[in-house]
Amino acid sequence: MFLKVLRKYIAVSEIMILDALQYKINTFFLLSVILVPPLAYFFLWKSIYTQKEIIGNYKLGEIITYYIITYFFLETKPRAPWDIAHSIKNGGFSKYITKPINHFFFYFFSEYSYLFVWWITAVFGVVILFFALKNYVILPYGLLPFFLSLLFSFFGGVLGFIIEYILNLLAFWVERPFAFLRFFDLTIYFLSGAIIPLDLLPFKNVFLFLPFKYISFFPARIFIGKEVNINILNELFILFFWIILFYSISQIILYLGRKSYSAPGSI
Amino acid sequence: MEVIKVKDLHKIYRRPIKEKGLKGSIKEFFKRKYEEVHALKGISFEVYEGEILGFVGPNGAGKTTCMKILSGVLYKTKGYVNVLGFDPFKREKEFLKKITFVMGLEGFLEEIVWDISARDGLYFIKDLYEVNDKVFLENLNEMVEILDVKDILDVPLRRISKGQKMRLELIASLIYNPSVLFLDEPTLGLDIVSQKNIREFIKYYVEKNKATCILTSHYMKDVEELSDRLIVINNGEIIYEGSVQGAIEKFSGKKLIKFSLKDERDKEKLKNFYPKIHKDKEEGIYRILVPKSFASEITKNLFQNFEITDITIEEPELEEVLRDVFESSS
Repeated sequence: MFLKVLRKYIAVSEIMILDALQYKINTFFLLSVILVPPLAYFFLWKSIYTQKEIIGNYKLGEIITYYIITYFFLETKPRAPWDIAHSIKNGGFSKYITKPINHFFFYFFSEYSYLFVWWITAVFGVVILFFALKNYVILPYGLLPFFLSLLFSFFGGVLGFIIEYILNLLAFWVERPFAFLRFFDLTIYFLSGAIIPLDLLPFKNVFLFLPFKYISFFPARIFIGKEVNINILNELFILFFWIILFYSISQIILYLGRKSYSAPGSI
Repeated sequence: MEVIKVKDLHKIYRRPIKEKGLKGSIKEFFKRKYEEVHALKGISFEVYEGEILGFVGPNGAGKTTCMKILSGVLYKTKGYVNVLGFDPFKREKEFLKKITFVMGLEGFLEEIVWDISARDGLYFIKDLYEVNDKVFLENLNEMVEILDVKDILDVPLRRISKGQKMRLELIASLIYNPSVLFLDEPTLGLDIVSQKNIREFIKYYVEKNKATCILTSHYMKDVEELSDRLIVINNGEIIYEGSVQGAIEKFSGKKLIKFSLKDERDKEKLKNFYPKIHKDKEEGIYRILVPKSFASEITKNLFQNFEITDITIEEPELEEVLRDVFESSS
């Protein structure tokens, strides 16, 4: 039974990987997203660090590595595509709900598989950056922080995906939900610590309480060895709590949304 | 055996209304107005195993809304709906595996495999519906043969024609042997050959699998050739249920006069005489549906006022009759 269901979602993944492979050149150009922002931050922070040796509790090498890793996690995290909101508005949603598949998991697996090709490209980008900035970057002190960093970023990405999925579902009631989605896109950059590390911000306790830190700030801190004394299980428990909470909310919203869905168009 | 049962089905939904121009848009920005649309007004009917039910009516009559409720897409406002023993809105897996909803040219296959081949898409459908390999390959080979799509199975979907795409969508919709088919305009936008091909295939599939089918189409040829029974729906209400021939008899009591004008410049004058006249674009023939008792008088009148090159008086077809009914009601 479980294997049959799994087979279904593996099929979704296969089809999306096949699709992603059609856009090799596109994927290659997306490499700039991984390369350019951290390089820009490198030059900015390098000039800032000429005045001081340590800012907050970050040294130059730590902050440069932090930005490279943060951008990698942010840019390779799955995004609930705006297609979901579009399909609710134009009636394409009907095609999915007449199929024996979970709407959330269809998009979830599609997105992760689509990202798979992109993820490989992005790793390549990070390697380039590490070579180019080899005198400035630092590596994790062992395999454990490296894997923990990936683990938290994966589940942080899941959480971000669910929140974006919920925002897409607002299309059931809102004429144009795209402003919310755009706003969330920008907010997530800030709240996940991609612009400034969250612990350098005023009212940092508020930002550190919110779940967005798990998308990139927290995993990047593990990577650079700044979270050595944490209780991993406790943090994972909190992260799973957020994931289950938001997933449950998404399913309630989906059910209520379907009740008010008008299935516009001929489909 | 009863497969679909609908009783006192209502659907009311809200839609935004906007006043004209910039002023209207500004007003709408602060306070949006809505109107209630009563799309279905308490309709009841049943469909039986192996039956093809033709569902006809003008645009906005409620046909597609009804099919969307039956397939679980829309939530009903009031009434009872049962398909294969399931409440469609609950989206139970066993229910979804037994139905298919063909939605004109906008199919699921196209949505997921726009850039890759239909074959990949069909294998995806196989996994989605958990079809075993043997059944899948048997169905695939048979359908590919009948619908003549062998040559395009490995071509990306975006590179093939509408008619070919529709044939592939039909395969994707039926390859898992659904027992209830909701076909919403399955031949829309296709050429005559493709339409015929698809009609024949639907008939073959329904007979072979004893499937139950609800069909809507603006092409009356589809409805006439495929339907065992007809439901005519207008303004959310069923105005007729019975055979195709019965509908012609009920609504008609009329004759169809078909003729050609020698001088096309008389066209405007003709419209003044008979505002409800139609011209067949393909054949260039004018058609008027007239009460039987007036047929000879109107024919005489036509000869007196116009130069007629060719004229026939016939029993009208379903399309003609329904067009007349819907125009009268609007």
